[in-house]
Amino acid sequence: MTFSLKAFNIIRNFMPANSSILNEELNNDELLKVVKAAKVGDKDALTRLFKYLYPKVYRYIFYRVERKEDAEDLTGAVILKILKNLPGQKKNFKHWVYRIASNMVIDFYRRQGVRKEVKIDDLEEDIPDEREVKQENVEWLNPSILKKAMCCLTREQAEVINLRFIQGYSNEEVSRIMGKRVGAVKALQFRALQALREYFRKKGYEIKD
Amino acid sequence: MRLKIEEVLDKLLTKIEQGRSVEDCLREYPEFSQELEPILRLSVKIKGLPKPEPSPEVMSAFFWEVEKVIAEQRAPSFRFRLQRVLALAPVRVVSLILLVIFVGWTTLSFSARSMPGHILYPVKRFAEKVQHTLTVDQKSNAFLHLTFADRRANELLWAFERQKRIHPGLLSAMLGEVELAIHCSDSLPKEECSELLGKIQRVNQGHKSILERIKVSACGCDTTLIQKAINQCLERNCCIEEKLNPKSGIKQSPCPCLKE
Repeated sequence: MTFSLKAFNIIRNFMPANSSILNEELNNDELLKVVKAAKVGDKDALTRLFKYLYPKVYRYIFYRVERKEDAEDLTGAVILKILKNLPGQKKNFKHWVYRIASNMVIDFYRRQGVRKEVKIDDLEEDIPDEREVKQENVEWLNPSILKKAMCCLTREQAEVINLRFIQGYSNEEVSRIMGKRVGAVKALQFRALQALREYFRKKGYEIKD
Repeated sequence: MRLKIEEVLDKLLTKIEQGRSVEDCLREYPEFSQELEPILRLSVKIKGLPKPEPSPEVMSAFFWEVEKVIAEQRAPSFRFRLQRVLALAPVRVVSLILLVIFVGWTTLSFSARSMPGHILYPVKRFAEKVQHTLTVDQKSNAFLHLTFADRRANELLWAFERQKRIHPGLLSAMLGEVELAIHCSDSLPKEECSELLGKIQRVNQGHKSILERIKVSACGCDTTLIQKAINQCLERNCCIEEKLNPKSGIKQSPCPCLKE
């Protein structure tokens, strides 16, 4: 995504370098109202919706693509698509948003001709040595390691981990977003956590408190 | 009923979210504790990971891009509503009918002033035919023929002024319309017939004057044709005279000009 340097500088001068002012939390009722108003072109509602969606979509895509820049570009494309198609949106809003995001990630990899979404080639290098962890008291699990570890999961399992533990949705919300029964989501959640634990165990890490 | 391990995991995750410790939760399900402990600890670690935040610069810059979309979004919302209204079948049908009426009326208005050779002239002639077909009353029909005859006379004059040649088709049509008007007069009551014949006579004389005027400046090749038409007008005048004054003794019916 390209922006003119002039426009970028103007905005940078006016916007504080803190994304929290562009972050808006909405509960389900508020979200419904905002979406309804945004559909008829209410400018404030569209702005609030953008602030609410951008970080969420970014976090969702971050765990599905390798590079941060790709995550930012894709997030922009997803948000634009959402805002352009908003008047025709029906049924569950969150389900619609994450379907768009998911499909755009799939398209992105299809265009690049890459089968697996995140490469695990250099996973060994990224995980700190156990001795180093003990000596320097560093946290061995970080977002980029988790992202790579999620490669061992199926797409549905990875989606549950992403929505449930990273986005923080309840099982009911995840089931609505994924279009699955709650029981199926619980099973996916268990199998996904078990696979991740097994993966880290094989790498020699005992998960302790 | 024995609980499934995924159900237990979900219950324990909910309790941990509410603030209880992993050890505390596992005490409730000792049969699952060995298997669930590392999973629960891992889930706590994942939940505690710092949330990846988008770069504020990129987000701010993109916000500007979105502002443009938002500005466009306001206009389409009206267009969107209009499209929805037009999507309704009765509205579409009525709109289509109104459109056809408007286009038809505009075309007819323009064609009424068209002259031979113009793109809309065939429309004018077709509209006259339709008008004639739809007119049932004999008297109105006769007056209609006289109107058409006058139009042909004007067109004949217009064509002659441009090309300096007589247009045989228009001449024939002009004379033909008058003849049809005379035929219509036969079936009318006496009073209405006299009124109509009087009008036909005036139109006929008008045509004769036009033809005489044309004849003066016409080329030699057209003179015979014009003269023939003038003679026809004269004969027709005699016939009308006879019809109007049967006892004048100028000429006896049937009128030869009507036989041609």
